[in-house]
Amino acid sequence: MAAGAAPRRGGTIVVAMGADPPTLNPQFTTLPYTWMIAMSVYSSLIRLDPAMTPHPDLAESWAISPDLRRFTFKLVRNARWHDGTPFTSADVKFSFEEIARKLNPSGSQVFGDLLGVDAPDPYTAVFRFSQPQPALLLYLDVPLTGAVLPKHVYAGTDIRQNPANAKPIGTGPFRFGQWTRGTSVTLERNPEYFRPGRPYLDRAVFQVVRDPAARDVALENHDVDFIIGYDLALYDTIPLRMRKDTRVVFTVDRAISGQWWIGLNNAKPPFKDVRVRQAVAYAINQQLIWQRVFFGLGKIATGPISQYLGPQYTRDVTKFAYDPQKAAQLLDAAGYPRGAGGVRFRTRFTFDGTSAEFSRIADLLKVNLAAVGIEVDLESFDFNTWFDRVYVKHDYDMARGRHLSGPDAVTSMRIEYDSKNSGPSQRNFYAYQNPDVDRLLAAAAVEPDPAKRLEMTHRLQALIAGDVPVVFLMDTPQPNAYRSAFQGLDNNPYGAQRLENVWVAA
Amino acid sequence: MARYIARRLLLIVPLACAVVVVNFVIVHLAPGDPVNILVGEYGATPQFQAELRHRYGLDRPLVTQLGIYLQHAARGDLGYSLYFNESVVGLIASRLPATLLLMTSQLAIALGLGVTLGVAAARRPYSLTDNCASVVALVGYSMPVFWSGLLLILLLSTTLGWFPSGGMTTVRTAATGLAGAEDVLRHLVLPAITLALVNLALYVRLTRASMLEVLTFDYVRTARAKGLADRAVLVRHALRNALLPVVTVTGVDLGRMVGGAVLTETVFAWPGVGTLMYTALQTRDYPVIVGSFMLVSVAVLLANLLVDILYAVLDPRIQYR
Repeated sequence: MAAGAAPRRGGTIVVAMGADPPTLNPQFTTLPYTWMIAMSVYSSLIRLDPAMTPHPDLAESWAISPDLRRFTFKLVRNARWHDGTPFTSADVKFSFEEIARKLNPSGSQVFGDLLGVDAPDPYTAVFRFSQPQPALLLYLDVPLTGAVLPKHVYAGTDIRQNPANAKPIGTGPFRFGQWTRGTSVTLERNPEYFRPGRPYLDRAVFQVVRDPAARDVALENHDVDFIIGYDLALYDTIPLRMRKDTRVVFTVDRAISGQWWIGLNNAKPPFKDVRVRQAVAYAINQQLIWQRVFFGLGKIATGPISQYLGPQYTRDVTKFAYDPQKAAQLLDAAGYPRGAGGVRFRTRFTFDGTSAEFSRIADLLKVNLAAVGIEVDLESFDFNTWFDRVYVKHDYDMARGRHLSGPDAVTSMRIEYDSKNSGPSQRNFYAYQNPDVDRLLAAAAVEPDPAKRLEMTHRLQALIAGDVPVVFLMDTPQPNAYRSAFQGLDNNPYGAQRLENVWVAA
Repeated sequence: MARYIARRLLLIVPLACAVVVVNFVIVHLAPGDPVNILVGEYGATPQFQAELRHRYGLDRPLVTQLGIYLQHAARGDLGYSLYFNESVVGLIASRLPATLLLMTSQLAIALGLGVTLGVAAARRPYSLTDNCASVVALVGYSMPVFWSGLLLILLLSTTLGWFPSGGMTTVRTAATGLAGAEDVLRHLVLPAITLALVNLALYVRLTRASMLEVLTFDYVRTARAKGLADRAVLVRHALRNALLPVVTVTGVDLGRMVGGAVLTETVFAWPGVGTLMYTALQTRDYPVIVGSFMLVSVAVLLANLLVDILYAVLDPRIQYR
């Protein structure tokens, strides 16, 4: 097919999902399936392109005060909710004051300084903050915290139990059709979408296919057209890329991307001692993990921010290349000499069976650490037990860790490495504590000067990487696999696809 | 007989209660809770989590939670799924038809084919037929369904294109009426065969062993001496008595059927009760776990009763008082 062929109206896309989403309200979950469905049903004030530049969506234009505390959005006038009610600034006010700030799991982090949203007229919304918000626009797209929900549906109800969480009413390019639990979610084209001529597709079906091999076969048989990156292990993409009728696209530019690491319990010995943590970093052969577990895909991590996050990342940090001798010296210096049988101390690695990668990493870790005299007991649990031990009870020594880095590096590091966020179920389960890092994080979060903020972002990465709160292993981009008959998929920073511009060749 | 049935039916109530209490305690003893999953790895403030726990009553003593649950259950209200935010009864009801369709189909195949092969094998023990039947049965039994299922998909779906690879309907076209029924049937073939292959062995071996025993009895020799046709001796005289153990096993299977088949449902993306229970376990969705376990236990109890009644029908020597 010729590139640049004219988009065609009509057709259906079938997207495979590895599990049934718990809700279709993107303000309540970070699950990619819900994001992707929500990106077609709901709109946001702005949307981000692959370079993380904001573009108009429900906001035609916006103005930001020089102190970054006042954000004024001028709204489109022709948007309607799928039930026919006109969209106004009251919806924006309600969405951010009542839902995003209070009920979104990340809401207190992103909208903690929000004083209020004013609606001076139906088509103007003004966000007022007590502190400068240099990263706000990165959090106003539909995924994470930005979806705009209908006030007339949610106001005065129990928002968590509202039926619209399962039968969403949005302003987006597709209307909700039906949700058969355990089977599929169907969306139908919205003929009254506020952007004329969009969307191209008539329908979008999100079908639950739990088994990874069955998803691959279904893509090959054309029973499904698209597999979400969240459901694709990086090595699954190798055979997929060899097929002629399938295209695999990685989010590479400046995207929210995966990071893999081994969390160390900084709260108690032996990992309370920074020398022991550094020794573990030296003892692990990252190169081997990259080759044997990730098959040379992705990049070896150097610090707390993924290399795929663009200019926010810096390479200028202390690196811990594989060096067992240095590891042994550090362990001797830290007061852990080799004892009987050459063993310095015994420790545990706690992981869950949901990731094939970590099962393999566990084996390599055991061998690598045994070589420097650390004996590792491997503990594997189901996700919920693992979560309870590691996140809630902090009953672990070493634990598998994986997260999405971005879109804002400072916010990511704040969630991850601020000592205030080390309570039960919070991200800093390694209980990492560095007062310098805490201070710099707080300052960078409200720094209005972009150049200064970037410099602080880089300094933070150097500080954290040197402390080895966790052993950074891999940075991985998010792959998406789809039949090449489909065109117009956008490569946004979230790895979830907006279906508005997608069309299928006849 | 009627009194016996009534007594057995009444017994189901305390048994089901006991099952609920035991399950309730066991699932709450498992580490982790549903709030972990609802919050996710992205994390949330402790206040936010506390508010969620409070809202779902997870901060109350276990005994209080159990009491509330039993009160509602007595009224037929099994509560709301914490994960899906839907009524448990509704969730199970939406999955049950798919499960029953798959399980009755596979049982029909396994039972029909298994008994036929078993009788054929018993007719001439250690003959070629007997050995072939045994080999087929054992190979089928030994193959894990996630593997045999994928092999069937690769051969019959990907290569030959006869059947769809998964799901219960073609979501792209969403056919209705007669075309819709045909569509479901086409989707049913592969998972039903996959499951039947596993259960086939049991019925073949059971029928064969039982037939071999019965065929040595005097009345069979008498029937043969009377000059009855081989077929009549085998089917009408021997098989009827040989079927008793097969009925027992089928009965147990019948009860288990409502629980679905997690692995097969997963490989074929079949929307049954099995994957619902599995998801519920993973997400610690207490109401769904306890509710579906209760459903399965009641089904097993009812199936056992049915088996006992069938015994009396098949074998006039058995009488209940």
